[in-house]
Amino acid sequence: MKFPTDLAEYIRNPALMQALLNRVRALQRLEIIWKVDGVVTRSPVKVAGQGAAIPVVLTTAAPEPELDLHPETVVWWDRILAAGGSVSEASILLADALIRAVNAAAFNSKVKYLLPLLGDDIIAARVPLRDFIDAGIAGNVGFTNADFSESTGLQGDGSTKRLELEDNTIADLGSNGGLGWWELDAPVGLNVMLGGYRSTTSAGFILYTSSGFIRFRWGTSANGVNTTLPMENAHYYGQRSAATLREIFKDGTSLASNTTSDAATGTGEQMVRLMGGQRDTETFYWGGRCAVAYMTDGTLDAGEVADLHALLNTYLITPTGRTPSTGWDAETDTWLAAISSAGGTVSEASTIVANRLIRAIKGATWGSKIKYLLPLLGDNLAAALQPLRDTLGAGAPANANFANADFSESTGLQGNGTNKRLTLTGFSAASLGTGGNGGLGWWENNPPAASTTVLMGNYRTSTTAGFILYSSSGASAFRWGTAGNSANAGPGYTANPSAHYYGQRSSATSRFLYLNGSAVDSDANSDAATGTGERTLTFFGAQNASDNFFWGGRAACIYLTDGTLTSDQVAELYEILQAHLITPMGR
Amino acid sequence: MDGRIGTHQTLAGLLADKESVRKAIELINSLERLEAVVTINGTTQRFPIRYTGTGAYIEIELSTATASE
Repeated sequence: MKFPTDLAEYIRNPALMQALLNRVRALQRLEIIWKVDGVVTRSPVKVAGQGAAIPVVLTTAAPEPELDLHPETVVWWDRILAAGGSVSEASILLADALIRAVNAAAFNSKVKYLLPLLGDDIIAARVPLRDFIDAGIAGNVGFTNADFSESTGLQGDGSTKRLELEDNTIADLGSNGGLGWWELDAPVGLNVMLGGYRSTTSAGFILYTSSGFIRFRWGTSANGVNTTLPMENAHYYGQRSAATLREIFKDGTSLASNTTSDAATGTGEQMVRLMGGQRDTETFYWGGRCAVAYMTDGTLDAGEVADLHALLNTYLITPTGRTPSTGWDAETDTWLAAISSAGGTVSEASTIVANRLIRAIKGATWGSKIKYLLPLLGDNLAAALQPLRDTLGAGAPANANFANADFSESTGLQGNGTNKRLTLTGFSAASLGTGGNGGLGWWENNPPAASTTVLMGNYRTSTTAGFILYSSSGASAFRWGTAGNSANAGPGYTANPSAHYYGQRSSATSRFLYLNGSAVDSDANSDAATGTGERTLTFFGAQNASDNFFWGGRAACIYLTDGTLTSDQVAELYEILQAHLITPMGR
Repeated sequence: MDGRIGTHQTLAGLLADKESVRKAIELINSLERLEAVVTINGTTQRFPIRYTGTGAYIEIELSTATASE
């Protein structure tokens, strides 16, 4: 509205005066509201003395620099995003520098496939940065995000996980071919890193390990070429550059060659795998840790192999910080020292198994709940009785009558049911958890006939109350307190099954018995677990007020916990023991 | 508008200076049509004042996006 300029109007009409004052008041609160790219900023008027101002501060953000990426990087990035993966800008730039370096190298066109294992997740890790052979994004069998990080590479498990490429892509490399692999945690034994077998024969196009060497095969088995030393954490490359030349390199240096003429028949008829292999019905899963895998047309000269090694080291291994596993876990070191001190021996292969087992347990959120662990590994009984985990400080159990003949790494420790037992002198059920809790674990793989006896635990001195895994006429049971409050695998369960038994008391009203990671019975009667400090903790039996019990089965693993594992954690523990002890040892 | 508006400490002084009152009201009337005139890269946009019940504002909406790709 327009206000009259005659003061008399306001004297006659107080409402008009009120409106005028309201207008002045509104102007006192004047502000500029900026909406810049959807971001709102308010700039109010500042009235001071006889002046007024509206201070405005606007900043112009520096424009996002456009990434000037190599076309191969762009394709790689697009494939990651299309597959639902994620990759950071830092990783994109790293990949870009890597592929630019490859492009600038004399051997550029010879590199046909390159899997740098970059990105934030297992999806991104499976996308090749170069894929001239249309191998595609590697299909995933079993890997999870937990198996991969840019700084460590891709960790296999040796039993269930591998990557699968499009079939028959070996033929796309050309008449020759090369397979490259950078290993950070070399496993032992026969296994395949990458490549493809012929569909029905042992001929193949593979890089693989066996006991004591690493071997490259491009054609019939007899014409393979191998190192004279076991696989180490290193960069291996095998290539066939002619019918009469197959050569294997380590860290860019040639180690051996085979010049027998081989037609390399069947390059177009295989299932191609990474972190494993597939031959007809025989399946391989790599247990190591891969830093990079690649394939070539097989025509690199020795200088180019060395250059490629240096290039990968400079542009991928070093910037990602991928370092090989060195040394053993501290608990493995302690275990090795105890074996040595006891006069026992253990092979490197078994030490690797032990090391992976303890690291797997350590890596679990519940790992500290395992208080004592006998993996029963080593070349002899003295080694087998050394605990891999011993937070109790109990040391090896005292041995009553077991001999070396009772033990084999590939089976376990065999009891006789009459006079052979192990005891942790000075330790009892009270040693395990707090508040009277505790857990008893036993992997049985040669159970005795149905009988009433005890696998492990301890009894009270003068009653049948006890803290035991036991068998009542063959029915598996767990007691932690009075006899009437046991958890029992009742009707419907095999008597004395060959299985992983675990019983735990997690509170006065919770006692569970698990078989193979699954709960089979529980008891919720309130039981104070009186007397946990009585008698000695025993394996392969126990002693109560009137009877001596001995277990005639064969243990593949024995352990003790604080009793607080959740059901899911019990299942995970079972999986870890299976994957990292039972399966690799062939028990 | 020419001339300064006089300053008066008393109502009597204000009532005696009718010219200052007229100028003050003309100023207020002019501010009713206040607008911000923004010129960016040679392009000018005008944004008028808005009055609310108790306040006033000038809303200026800008985009920094430029044609690309």
